[in-house]
Amino acid sequence: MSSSPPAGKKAIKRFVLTFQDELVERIGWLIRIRWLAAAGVSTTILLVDLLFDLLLNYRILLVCAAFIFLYNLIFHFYFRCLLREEHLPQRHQRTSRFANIQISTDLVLLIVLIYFSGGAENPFIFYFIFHVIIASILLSNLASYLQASLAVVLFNLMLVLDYLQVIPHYRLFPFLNESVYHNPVFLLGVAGVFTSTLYLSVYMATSITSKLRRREEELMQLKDSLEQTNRRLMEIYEYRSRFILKVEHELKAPLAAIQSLITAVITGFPEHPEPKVKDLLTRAEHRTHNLLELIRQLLTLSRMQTAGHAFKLEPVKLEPIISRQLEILHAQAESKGLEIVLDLPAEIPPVKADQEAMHQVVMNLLSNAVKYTEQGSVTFKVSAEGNFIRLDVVDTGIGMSKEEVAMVFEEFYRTSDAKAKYEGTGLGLSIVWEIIEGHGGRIEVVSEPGRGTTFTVWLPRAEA
Amino acid sequence: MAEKEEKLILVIDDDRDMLEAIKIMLESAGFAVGLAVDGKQGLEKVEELNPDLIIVDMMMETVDAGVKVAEKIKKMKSAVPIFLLSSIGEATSYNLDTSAIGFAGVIQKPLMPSMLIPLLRKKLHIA
Repeated sequence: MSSSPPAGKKAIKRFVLTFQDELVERIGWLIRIRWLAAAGVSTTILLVDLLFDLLLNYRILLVCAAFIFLYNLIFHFYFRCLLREEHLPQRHQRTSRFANIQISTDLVLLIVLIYFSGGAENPFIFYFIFHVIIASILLSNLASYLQASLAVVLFNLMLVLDYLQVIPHYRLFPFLNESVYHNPVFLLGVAGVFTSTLYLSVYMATSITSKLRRREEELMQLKDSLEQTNRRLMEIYEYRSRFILKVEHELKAPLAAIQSLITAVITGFPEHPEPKVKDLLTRAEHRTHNLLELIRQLLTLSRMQTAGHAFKLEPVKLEPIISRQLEILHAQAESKGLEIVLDLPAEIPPVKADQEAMHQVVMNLLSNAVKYTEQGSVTFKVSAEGNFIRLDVVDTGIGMSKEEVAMVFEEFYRTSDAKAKYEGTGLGLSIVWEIIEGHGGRIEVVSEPGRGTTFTVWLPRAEA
Repeated sequence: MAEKEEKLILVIDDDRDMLEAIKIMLESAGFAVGLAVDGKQGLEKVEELNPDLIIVDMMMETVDAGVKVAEKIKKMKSAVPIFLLSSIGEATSYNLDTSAIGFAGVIQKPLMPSMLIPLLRKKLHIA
């Protein structure tokens, strides 16, 4: 049984981490935005001064803009200190507090700006919505509502104090009658719309944010359980691979011993020339050999099918593989009087492949060509084609019909001609097909009965 | 079966039946044969018999045990040709460049006297 903690707990922990990381990132963004805001406020004040005839006290407003620059400078340096904090829980705590302080400071400054530029008559009061939305994205739900409440309290306090004439009124529009600021219906209307707008904004923004956070949390959990499943699958795969290797050895060792013992009897005791015994032994030896070949191919196929993405892909040079396989087939080709034609470029670019699998491909294609050809030649041609290396194995052998070509990669399938005249397992080409598929390559067959067969393989180049 | 000069071949394999079969094949071809059933005994026999040629099974106890034994022998007697014995199509034999590590070659199981004997004769320079 697995001893690791349940996936959910781990995922939530990591979720908090990513949320905090995101907060840090967004605070950096908030500070950058504030530079723009300060510049925007200053420019607006100067432009309004130039273009319109308003009742603004520009000097106070420019002092406010300068104040934004100043405190943002402080935030900027504090943020850099915060990034150096290595103790994570402490850093997270300070980050959250820092985000709250920044938004509160912005709210206070916005109310000051609004107060000095007309109070309730200033259309910029809608800018509070931005602050509230930013708070909902950055902060917890509770903190977002508290920030919205701070804005509501500050704004309504300004209206009340203004109404009660505790503080002087700074006017904005010369065409507005001053009595409007002392009209309770107007002020109540503004206060009501302002308050409801802010709370509605915070409600909508927080509900969207919470939903997104929940989704993210679910995704993280899913990702974690997927990772765990993936790890388990890899373990099972590795176990299976080791198991197949072991089975291969355990099955082959006794058979090889049996065959060698029979061979030893046949060749080692010429003083016992009983022909019937010799014939039976030769047949037993032959069948053992076939069984051994079948087991070898079955296990290779099984290994290749399990391998899938797990082929050990590396740049593989084909030359040594080709010459090794040709060496093995040389005697057989010579005994049949076949000409082996090699058409290789001066240098074959390496393919991106599994070493053992490439031996299988070259061995199976070449040995088939030699096996099923009685006279003529076997040509092995290699060429570069775009991002692929193309191998052609051309023989002048028995060939196949169209229907047979369509079945040729199926496990245990052998054409009737092949079955009648030659030994074989019907697995060699299935192995080749599995390997080529697993390497992202392609294989094609062209054949004509009695004329010969051409297998063409495309394998991805190593540099591609 | 009288050879002018009987060459001694040492075979190291943990499969006793395989050892017996090889022994019969080699003896009927006129070689003298020494046998060892594991790496340790193999190393002792190398010292004791001073063979002309050594055949080591690649797959003993563990996957690469045979190769390790062969490498040890190579250090002891660098002039004696060593053949590695492998099951046909064994994955490990593909990844092994025998000449690079100084071995004479890989012989694939099952053993065919018609291939094996000429190969050994050639290596031992027997006509």
